[in-house]
Amino acid sequence: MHHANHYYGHSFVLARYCGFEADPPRIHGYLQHGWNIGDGLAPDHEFVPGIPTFVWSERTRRRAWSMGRRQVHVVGAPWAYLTAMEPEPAGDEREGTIWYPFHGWEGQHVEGDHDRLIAEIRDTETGPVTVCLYWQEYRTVRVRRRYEQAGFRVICHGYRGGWWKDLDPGFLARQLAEQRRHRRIASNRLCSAVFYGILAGCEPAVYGDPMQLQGEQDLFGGRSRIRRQWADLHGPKIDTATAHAIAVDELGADRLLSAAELRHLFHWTTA
Amino acid sequence: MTPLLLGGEMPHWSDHAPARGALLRELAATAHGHVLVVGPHEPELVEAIPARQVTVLVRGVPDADALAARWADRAGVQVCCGSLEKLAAVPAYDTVVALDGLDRTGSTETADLPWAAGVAQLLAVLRPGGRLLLSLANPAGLHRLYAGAVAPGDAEWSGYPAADPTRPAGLEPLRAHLRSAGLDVLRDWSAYPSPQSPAVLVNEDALTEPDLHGYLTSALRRAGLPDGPLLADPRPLAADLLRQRLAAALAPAWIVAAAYPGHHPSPLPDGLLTDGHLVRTSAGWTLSTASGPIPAGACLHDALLAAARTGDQPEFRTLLTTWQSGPHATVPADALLLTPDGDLHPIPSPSPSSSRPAGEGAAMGEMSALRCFAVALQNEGLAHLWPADGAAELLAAMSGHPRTPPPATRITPSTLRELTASHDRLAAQLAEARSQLTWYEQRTATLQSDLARAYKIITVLKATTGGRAATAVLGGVRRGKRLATAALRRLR
Repeated sequence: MHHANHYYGHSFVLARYCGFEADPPRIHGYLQHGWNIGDGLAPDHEFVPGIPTFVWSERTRRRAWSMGRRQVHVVGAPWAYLTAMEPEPAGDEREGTIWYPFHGWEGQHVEGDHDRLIAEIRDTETGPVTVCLYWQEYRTVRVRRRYEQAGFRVICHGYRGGWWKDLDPGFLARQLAEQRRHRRIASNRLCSAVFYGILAGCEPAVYGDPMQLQGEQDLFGGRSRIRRQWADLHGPKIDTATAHAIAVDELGADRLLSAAELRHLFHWTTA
Repeated sequence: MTPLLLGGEMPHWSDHAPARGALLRELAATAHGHVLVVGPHEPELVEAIPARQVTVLVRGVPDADALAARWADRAGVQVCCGSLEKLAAVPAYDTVVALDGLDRTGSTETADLPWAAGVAQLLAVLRPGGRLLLSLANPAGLHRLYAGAVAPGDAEWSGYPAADPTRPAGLEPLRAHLRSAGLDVLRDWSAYPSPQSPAVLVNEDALTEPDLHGYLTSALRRAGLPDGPLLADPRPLAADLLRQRLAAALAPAWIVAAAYPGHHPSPLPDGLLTDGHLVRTSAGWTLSTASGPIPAGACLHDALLAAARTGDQPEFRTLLTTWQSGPHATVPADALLLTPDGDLHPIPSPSPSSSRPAGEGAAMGEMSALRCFAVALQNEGLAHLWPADGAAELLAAMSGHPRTPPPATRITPSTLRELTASHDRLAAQLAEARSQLTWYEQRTATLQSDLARAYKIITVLKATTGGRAATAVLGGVRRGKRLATAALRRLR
């Protein structure tokens, strides 16, 4: 229905969960594609009346309802389905930290001091550090070099796809495999990747200069609200059990639907 | 002043229709010491609190910002924003005001707090000897029983509050809950017609006092309608609710003043009404706005309806005559008390217009009291006994003072029962009119055929010998008359 349903291969993960072997059918509705503190969808999202929205968590559903959205269904994050479908193999060793510097999305630019961030990472992390950049930053040689020269391993999970082009069915699987190699996950802002990492079994940390987008507007309370409301997830060392409970909540990992239910909601009748 | 964000605040949210109105302002004015106001209340209510230190807690950031801006220059007022569970459980307040209840103190960001946990939170911030003013909406209140179908609003993101097992299922369970928490229940009131803007607050003793039934029937009738679309106008039930002792059980909300043991000097009235404070004294039930006890008796409106229902025309005519020939002819029947000895007493009202709900008041003002009662006859199940047109004129004639009352303002009923009754009435009138039309058409057809037959007979008669002779004689007479008239004219 909406091209964002296919971001990060989300629709492919859910199609696999529902028993589809080939490309996913069209989802009849809007699927939340990233953690946010509003109604679950991007602020510039255009709605067609009567089309349902599929959000990750009950809190997001409540918020969306209070903002006038109806037909909002809690389905849980595709990531939660993926981790449920692919339990962590026993005995794999984890080492170091996977670090996600805050990034902009297509057409956005981050303003911040990467050198200062690198210094903070060095001061905090004791093991090897893998820095995962968004594809925009990864392609910006100047930014990538900085992290490489700091001695970090620099990776990119890939391009999330857009407007039904360059879709990447394996995006989340690669991200999960990479996160499971690391003992810790960190970022300078609380974001989807941190919640993903917590569910993937990493110890989380959120610290360092949060940077900002050019002309960034703090919608729904913005950064200050995130720091207040999810204060337990901020800091270089976080209680793992608390973090896990919050991540389960935010990703709706305790509310996953059965394949039959999901197929029915998405109008996927051909499987 | 910047609102203090406690956590759980909703950046996009604003609560509509806060707790409001003159009666709730009067209750708020009894608060003392450091006062905490929890939930959406109209700013004027907070401003009615005489205390120097007032803290207000709302959940929507736009609401908090607006209040903070309003009281930017008012020392001693603090605006907090967030959900109730984030309030520090420190006994810092002498009075806690929650006249909107607890249903709008949570947020989308925090789990729903069970009612009992919400009250525990309020009690935890009360100082020893502190006082709580708490409202509890009744899910089986008249306002809900008569509520029309409406889609759930944006505020209804969580479950159905009435399903909360910790929520008291009635006034006595509410009192018992507070008593078990160590509070003395100083006073409780049943609130009508709607939880957020009551126009009648009366305690259970008064509601079950037979001598007050007439007055309270009048008060409940004049309290107006609950908010929102309704299936039926609940006011005709007022007298039955009191008689059946259901007025407290079916009240839209209950409000309780409770306090930790201590010295509580300011006595609270048994009732707060737009007419004044209702107080039980050694002389009987009194209104603060009138001298002497409230007379026992019936509400004239209901007494008239009862006489009309039973077909007691002499009694009906007597009541009507007493009313319309006396000094209170312009006072609506629902604002008059009929005492057992047949006298009429107007109910003291500081401002008669204020006792009518807005909107309706303006429409009613244009109608005479008699016209209002005529409309009630139609709306309260007596339409079949009265002519659809001219009921007010007939009432005037019956009262012995025939006149033409001012024309009725056309009011389309907004409630389903009255709308259905109005529809049925119009359908019956239309059916009657059609029957009458058919009858007149048949009658006209009969007359036409009779006439045609008569013409035919005349034609036949004219053709006979006698008929021709008669026609000739008649022609001669007419001609003679013309000649005579002409001769006379010439002679003059």
